[in-house]
Amino acid sequence: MTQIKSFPATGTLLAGPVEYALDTYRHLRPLGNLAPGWSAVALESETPLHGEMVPLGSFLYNFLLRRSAQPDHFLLCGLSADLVMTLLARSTLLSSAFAPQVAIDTLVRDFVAAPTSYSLSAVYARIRGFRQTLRSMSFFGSDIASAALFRNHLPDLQPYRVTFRDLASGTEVGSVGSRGEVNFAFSGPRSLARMNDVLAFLHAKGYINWQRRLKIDLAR
Amino acid sequence: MRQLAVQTDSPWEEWSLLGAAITRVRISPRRIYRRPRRPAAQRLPDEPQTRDSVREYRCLMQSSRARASSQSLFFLEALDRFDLRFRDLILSPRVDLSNRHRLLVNANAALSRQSSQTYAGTSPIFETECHYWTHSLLGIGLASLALSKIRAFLDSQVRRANIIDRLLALSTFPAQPGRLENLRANDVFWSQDFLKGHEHTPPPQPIPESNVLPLVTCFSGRDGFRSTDVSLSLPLETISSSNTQVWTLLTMTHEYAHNIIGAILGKLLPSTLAESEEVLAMQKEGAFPDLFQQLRALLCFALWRFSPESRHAIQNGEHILGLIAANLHPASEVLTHCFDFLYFYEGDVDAYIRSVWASWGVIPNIQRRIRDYLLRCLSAIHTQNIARSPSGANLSITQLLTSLNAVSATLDNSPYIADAVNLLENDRPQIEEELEKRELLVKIARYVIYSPTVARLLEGSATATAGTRFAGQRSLEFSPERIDPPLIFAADYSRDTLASFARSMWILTQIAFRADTE
Repeated sequence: MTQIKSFPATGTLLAGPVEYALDTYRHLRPLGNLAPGWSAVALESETPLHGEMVPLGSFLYNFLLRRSAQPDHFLLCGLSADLVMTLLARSTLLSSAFAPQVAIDTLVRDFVAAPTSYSLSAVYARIRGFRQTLRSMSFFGSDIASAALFRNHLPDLQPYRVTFRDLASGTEVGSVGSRGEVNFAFSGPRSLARMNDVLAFLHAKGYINWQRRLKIDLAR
Repeated sequence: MRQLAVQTDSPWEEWSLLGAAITRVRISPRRIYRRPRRPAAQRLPDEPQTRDSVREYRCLMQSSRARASSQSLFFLEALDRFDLRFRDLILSPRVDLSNRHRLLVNANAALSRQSSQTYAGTSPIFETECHYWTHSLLGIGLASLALSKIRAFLDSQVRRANIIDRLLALSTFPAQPGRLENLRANDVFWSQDFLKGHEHTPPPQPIPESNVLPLVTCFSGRDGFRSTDVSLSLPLETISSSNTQVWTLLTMTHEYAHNIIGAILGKLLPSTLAESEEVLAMQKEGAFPDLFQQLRALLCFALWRFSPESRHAIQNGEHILGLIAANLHPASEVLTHCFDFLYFYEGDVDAYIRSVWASWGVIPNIQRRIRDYLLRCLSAIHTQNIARSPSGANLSITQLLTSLNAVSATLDNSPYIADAVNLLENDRPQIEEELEKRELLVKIARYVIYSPTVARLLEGSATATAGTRFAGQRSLEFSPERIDPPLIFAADYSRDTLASFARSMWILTQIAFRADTE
């Protein structure tokens, strides 16, 4: 198994000819497997892509790639949303791949009605209604879905992003957005396995809708 | 020095020495605090079985009052309130002779300790003594004052929340159709805030200070952390080591919670044969006149479910009273752990497990009680998982295991944790079954006794926010700033591994003189 440094991973679920596009993009260097289903690739660039102040030399940026059991379904993560968008654009995936819709709104309401072995430690939501002067709210805690204050506000909210906390281990796993956005702290195989479990949970509960083909836009 | 003492209105004592011999002692004029005339108190009982205890109580109370009247208005007021409420308590028709005797004995023990510990070392020094012999000259009045200040702070929080009136107000709510024990934990019925009260009626007023019996606080090497109906004691080690996780003052919240749960159970459980017959009839019919009665019936059912004889049907009202008497103590422990965890530790599993296992780690020979302690902790953790699927119980056990392993790595002295982990790992199905027997009690603690409204009122007692509030105050420096709330201050500065007399006394001094009790 390959080892690469820990980093806060940002990316997106996506469907499309990902393997073909990445295999044929000549500036990508495969780094090997990290854990079952997960591999790493490095993007070589002549110019700095992450705001580095060093003007000369070549730059390497690591990415995590997770293959789903379903062919053509992937998760691609990098050090920042901009880097992922750059890779997608350079490898032509931005025009040929799409992101699924994740039913975060339904998921939050389900968590309120019947808690699971995950809790929500962050919820980001838009305020329902037209021309609201208050447009969004964010909640942070150890188990937001069980908090009375949150429940009272929920009818007026449309959650679009949540962070999962694994109750058994007491660790924060990562966050998922309604347009397939994913964030987690990559720190080795264990963090990848925990993220796998969250994605499997979302898949098993039918929250990921691959029929809704959304344009990938992590810069929103 | 004498001039400074006079200027600051401080009592003083001046010793003239010839070599090592004290040749002359001069003391400052005695200051006397006066209190307004006290309301007429009930006469203490005159019965052969309690006569000696009553005599001792009179002497101890008068002696304590006399000492407090020249030293501390704070203690004097507390003693007067204690005396008034204590007389009401022991003369209540609900208290029988043996319980009256028990209450008197407990009050006398606590008063005697408090008085000797608080006033040893006060002028005239030669006329006082302290039962804590290493401090027999100058005493531990400062530590005693700190302890009493925390008690007063907790009292003020609990008076403001007025849980009992909120509970009694449930008799004005209609009952839920059917039996509550059959309702799943994620039924919408349980999502209401039972102690919030009616939407359009004013909330219960805070309990007047004069209506509350202030527990007599003291230190005790024998009793350690312990509460009774009239007293609250902390181990002597707290004085020299309150800066450590093991001897932290925070453990007081657990002892204090015992009294709150005692008061709740006193209202909610039937106490007479007629009341228990009513419960039986309601259970048989499945019809309840109001929500309070329905919850009373649920609690009785929970006690039966928890009891070892739960395979046999309840026969009559007397049987219910018998079940209550036999299971009250262990059930009360379960509810107290849940209360402490939810309100004072704000559901922080790791902080709670670290705190309770650190304090159990110094109690000798408790191997046989480990299973019981595990089940109390599990019950507390399970309050957060009871509605989870597929298996909340399984998750609670996993969380406890994870937390125990983490705590064991950070605590120096944790002799029982390895046994506890072994027990959890090797006897998991049996533990899960025993947790299931406590599930109704956990449900009552989580959905009835825990209320977000009350939690807001008890906010100053919750310690999960510790670590940030007093971040600017440096240890061992005496700042004139008020300490509000004192429990969070204690939590912030009791994270050391090694005991330090100086740091411990600094914590106690700050609380004694700078803590807000409201």
